Amino acid sequence: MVDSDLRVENLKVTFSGRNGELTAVDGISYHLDAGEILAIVGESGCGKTVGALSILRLIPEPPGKIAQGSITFNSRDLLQLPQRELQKIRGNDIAMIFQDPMTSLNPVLTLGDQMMEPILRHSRLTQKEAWQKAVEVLRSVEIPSPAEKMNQYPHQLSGGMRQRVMIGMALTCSPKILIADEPTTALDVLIQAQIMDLLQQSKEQTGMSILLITHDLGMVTEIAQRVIVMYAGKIVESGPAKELFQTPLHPYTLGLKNSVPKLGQKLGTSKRLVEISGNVPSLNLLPSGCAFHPRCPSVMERCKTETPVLKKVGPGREVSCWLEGNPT
Amino acid sequence: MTTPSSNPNLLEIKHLKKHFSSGGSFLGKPSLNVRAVDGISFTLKAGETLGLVGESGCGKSTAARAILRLVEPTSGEVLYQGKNLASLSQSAMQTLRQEMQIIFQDPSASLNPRRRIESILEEPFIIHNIADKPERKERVARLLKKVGLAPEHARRFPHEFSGGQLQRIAIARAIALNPRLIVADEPVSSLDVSIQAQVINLMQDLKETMNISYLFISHDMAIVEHFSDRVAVMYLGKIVEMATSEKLYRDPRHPYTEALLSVIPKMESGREQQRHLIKGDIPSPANPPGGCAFHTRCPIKEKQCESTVPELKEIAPGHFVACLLRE
Repeated sequence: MVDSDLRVENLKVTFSGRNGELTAVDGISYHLDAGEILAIVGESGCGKTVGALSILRLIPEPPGKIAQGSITFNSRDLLQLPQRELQKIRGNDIAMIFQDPMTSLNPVLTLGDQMMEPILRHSRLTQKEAWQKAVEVLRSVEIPSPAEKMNQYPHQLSGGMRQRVMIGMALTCSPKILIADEPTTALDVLIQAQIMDLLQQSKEQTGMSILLITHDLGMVTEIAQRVIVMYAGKIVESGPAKELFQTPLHPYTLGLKNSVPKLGQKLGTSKRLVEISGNVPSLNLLPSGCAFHPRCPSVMERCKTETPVLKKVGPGREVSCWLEGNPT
Repeated sequence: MTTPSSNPNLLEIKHLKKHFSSGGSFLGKPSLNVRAVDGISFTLKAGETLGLVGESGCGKSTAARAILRLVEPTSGEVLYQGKNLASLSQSAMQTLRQEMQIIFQDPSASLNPRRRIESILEEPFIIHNIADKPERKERVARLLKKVGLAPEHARRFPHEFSGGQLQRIAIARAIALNPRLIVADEPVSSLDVSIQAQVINLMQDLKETMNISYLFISHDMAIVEHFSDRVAVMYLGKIVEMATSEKLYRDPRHPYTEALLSVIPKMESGREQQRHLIKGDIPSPANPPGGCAFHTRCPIKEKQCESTVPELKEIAPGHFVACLLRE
């Protein structure tokens, strides 16, 4: 077995609201190996972000609650650590970048102030040394004239530059794990490519592992080694990235793959895309049995009442479906 | 002016410009003139779909609004069936608006949250004084069915629907008066992957059954290729390349188009494809670079690109490119 950096076991996260309790993440287990890029894909509301936020216990509690499970990092359970201990890990061993760099940077502080905060917090450097290190970091994420930028505010930068700053900030303390939640979704395509290249480069230089949360299937196959597909709070399929999208085993993954138009393959006579019917279910009205059954093209009687469990069906491949990897 | 029947073009845009000025000289600050749309020309035939792609800030949405006179163009002409929209009176324009509709990116922002779906959908009929109350009700029910929803949805409020369903309602509102032209501004960008295909298919069906022409604005190159007959690529307020979608995607000539196409991750192939990674950001349209606006990021630029502005030229039948080096 490979040495694993992070192990999530049977994680369940609930939110209480007016309509009772909702289960956003429903018993997911996975591991992140050292130096790998693991992607978690799924649509909005599938629990991918909540699951990632739980790793650093960033879920607002209440209304949120990590109801059960364990998250092991360096043979310690992050869910049991006191806040003080957790503070030492946040931003230091495990760092996170978010989708929208405008809302995750403080608009009234200069970049310098924000860049230096994690350095001053997690190291014994002086103010001056921290400043120099922050400039170094900005240079490493290819920000032009970094020393000058230290005195600027977030609104003076473009979206791509802001995301570079976020990445730089996340990398200042050389984390072992970077959690990237939709890091390029808010950016233009050309800038997306730049940011993904930057992430990959940083990964190769530092040997960190990346947990990439995204809905962009194309990006996943390009940079991730392994993929987890989530639907309605559960993992429905996981496996090596290329294989998983070449031969999807879950009807949902197959549907996702087919519903995206492929570049350069204009669908000759039939101008229709293959669609997944129905809507993403809301968490307070989850269907019985397999949550995907009302939208599933290969639904069987049993799917309506019995919930399938994640089952190993091949080397590194798991699927949670009563068809066990023979979708039609 | 040509009569509508003899004109094959539903829409003809000639040198359309929309500049915004801001700032001003209150404290002696120089005013900013943002050239959001800076002289674009194209045509749209009846029943045709033209895709308009580009990065944020390239002026694609402003172009859409200027065409529909939701913002007044600074200069240039918009000919709809040969009629110059700028010369029409407000009331003549309002009558004509029945034929041209718009769908926005975020349906939860473009549908009034305090009104029931039936009241949202019957408004076009009220404004244009079409049909009495019972008939309006019937028409709303028919519209809902047409976009794949049920008549009983009419009594609900927007918050009771998912994003994909809301976009269906926005589409229902757009087709209520049997338009000839729909401007769709990023209609699927805010939707989940599995829902995007549903909405695209719905728009395709409506195109075929109602003979609608679309101006389809998107930043998603793959969806634009799938949905459009022809595609125009915009950069800093100008069209840099325009061709049929087959030609543009198979044989892109402008280095910007090449870059846009090369960075799109492809699900099948791995990293083998050659990527044209473009350095830097899109410059501000308030202060665009001289010469070819793309020269600051262009991988093949030469000295002349810094001073000479390239014109959009037809390099092959129906294939237009604005690049000094690729003419």
